[in-house]
Amino acid sequence: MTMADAMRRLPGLCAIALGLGIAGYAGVFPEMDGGYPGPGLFPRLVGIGLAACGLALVWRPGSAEGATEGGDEMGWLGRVRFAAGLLLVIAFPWLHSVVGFFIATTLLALSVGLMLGARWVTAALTSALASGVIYLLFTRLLGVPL
Amino acid sequence: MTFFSWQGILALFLGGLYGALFGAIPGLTATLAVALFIPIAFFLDPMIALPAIIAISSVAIYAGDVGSAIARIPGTPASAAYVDELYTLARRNGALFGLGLSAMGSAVGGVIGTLLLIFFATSIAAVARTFSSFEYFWIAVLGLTAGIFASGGRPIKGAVSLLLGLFFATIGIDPTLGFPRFDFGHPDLLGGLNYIVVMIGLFGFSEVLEYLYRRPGAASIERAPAPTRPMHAFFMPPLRFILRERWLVARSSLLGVIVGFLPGAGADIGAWVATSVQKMRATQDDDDAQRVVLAGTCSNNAAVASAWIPALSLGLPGDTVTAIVLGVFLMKGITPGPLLFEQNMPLIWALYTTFVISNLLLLPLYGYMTGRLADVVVRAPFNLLLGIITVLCVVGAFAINNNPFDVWVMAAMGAAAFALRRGGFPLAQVVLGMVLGPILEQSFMVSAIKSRWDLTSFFNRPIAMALMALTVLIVIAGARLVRQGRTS
Repeated sequence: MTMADAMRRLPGLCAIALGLGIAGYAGVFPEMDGGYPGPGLFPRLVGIGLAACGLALVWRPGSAEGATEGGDEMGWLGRVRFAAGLLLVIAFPWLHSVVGFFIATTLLALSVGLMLGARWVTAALTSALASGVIYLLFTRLLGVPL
Repeated sequence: MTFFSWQGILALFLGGLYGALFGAIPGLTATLAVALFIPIAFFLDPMIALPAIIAISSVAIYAGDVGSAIARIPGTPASAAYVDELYTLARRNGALFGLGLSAMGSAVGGVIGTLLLIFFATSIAAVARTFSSFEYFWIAVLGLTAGIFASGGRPIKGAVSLLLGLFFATIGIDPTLGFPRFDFGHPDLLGGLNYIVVMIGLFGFSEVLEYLYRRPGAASIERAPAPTRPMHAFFMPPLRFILRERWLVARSSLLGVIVGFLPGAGADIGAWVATSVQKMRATQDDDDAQRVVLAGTCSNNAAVASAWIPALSLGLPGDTVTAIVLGVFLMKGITPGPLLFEQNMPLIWALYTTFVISNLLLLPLYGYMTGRLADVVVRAPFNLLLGIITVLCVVGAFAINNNPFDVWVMAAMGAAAFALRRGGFPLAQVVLGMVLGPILEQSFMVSAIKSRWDLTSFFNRPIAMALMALTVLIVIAGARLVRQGRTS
């Protein structure tokens, strides 16, 4: 089996692992009185279904039909930007509590814009303006607390 | 105070504007808009408050498509059924055309739904009353089956996405027996995953991650040229297309009404079944995406009206908005049910008139306004726009419960969607699984418990059998389409 073959079977293997994990974990949920299936039945069926679909995908992986077009990835730099974007969003609640809504959202929009090649000044101005508008829209106009 | 007073008209227009704002912003929903309106409704006359609520919900449900057109973030689970098609249309033919089709489709679907509400409310409600948990179970199975074959690619991948959604739906308190599942001792997971948060992550944030992973130049995307006559671009081509596809419009609206009046389930399943049927009938020409959007929007807004059928005639909420409306009824001392049609006909006619005005006047008006705005936004430099979309994703997820945990769920869903898209797995089916999962499980468990686990009882009732036969037909038609796809 080549590396490409293994990669094509990876989604199927992940589905099997997840399905078995769900079905196994659902096994610890209690049964109903009289030995009838309880809250574990539905997740167990879902897990078994996922594992069966995964098995079918491993057996006949096919092409990545409908997959996102590749070819323009940036390699390691793309991975770094992907991870940075994800980490920024994960860290947002902490950033929000430390520096407040306006600075946190401005920094978030600015960072994403800069990573995507926007110019400093334009990105800073747009991010600050957008953050202000979003804040006013949510809190003042629509009465949704942030 | 009468409905045709200046206060009544003003309430309609302000309600529509308020609904347009709420619907267009990721994370804010028609339900939240109506819920936040309740303190104001408390001080208003019912003849003003209830029409305003109809205007809010009708326009907000349409405006949920604005996020789909700009940033691929659907505003409702129903609009997730055609989010990819609307996003593609907005990029290829312009946001004005995409949202014009959505607004005009919503308006026509809404009018058809209203006409059926006017003429058949009590008889449709009588049919709804015969539905038990067995019929609900088969309705959910029908929706899920249609979703698998509507995924476009391999049905097995559609099934994996659907099962993932069904799994996400099991997180939290079990809907039938109240047992906590997959919460891993974390209190934030006890309430389950909010599907709006999941949708923002799956569709909106995954798009940002996708562009971050590519080269900087990749953030320049296909854009239609600016229309020279925006009003013409918004109204005329969509209306011509609707006239050409009148049978599709009638079929999808009818589906929206028929499935939409089922309390607690209808609107989303109606839109999903309508778009799934349309996707299965795809002719592989340039108009396929337009037909799918039209099918979804017609059915979506037809269901908004039909959700009021059980609310008005039985006192049962058709969806979350009508559940709040029933609260307003009680707050104002009005008892919904068959007697309402005998004792309070002026109010009933005010509601009917509002539906017609909302669909014929407010939807085109606010549709055009949001369309113009969206047309400007999609022309902004995409790298700047993606930064703002990231903020909207985070704020939208956070605003729902004011809970940082929702931001992390949204981020996790974005990363999961990135992986799913790379593997060619459809994303909309995950949302379908999440929406239908609780209905499927609850109706199955309730049916099984009340029949003492005699599973043959699922095949005894005539309407349940008809729904099962429809499901089998969809499987056969879907399998034939897949085979044709392989041989062509």
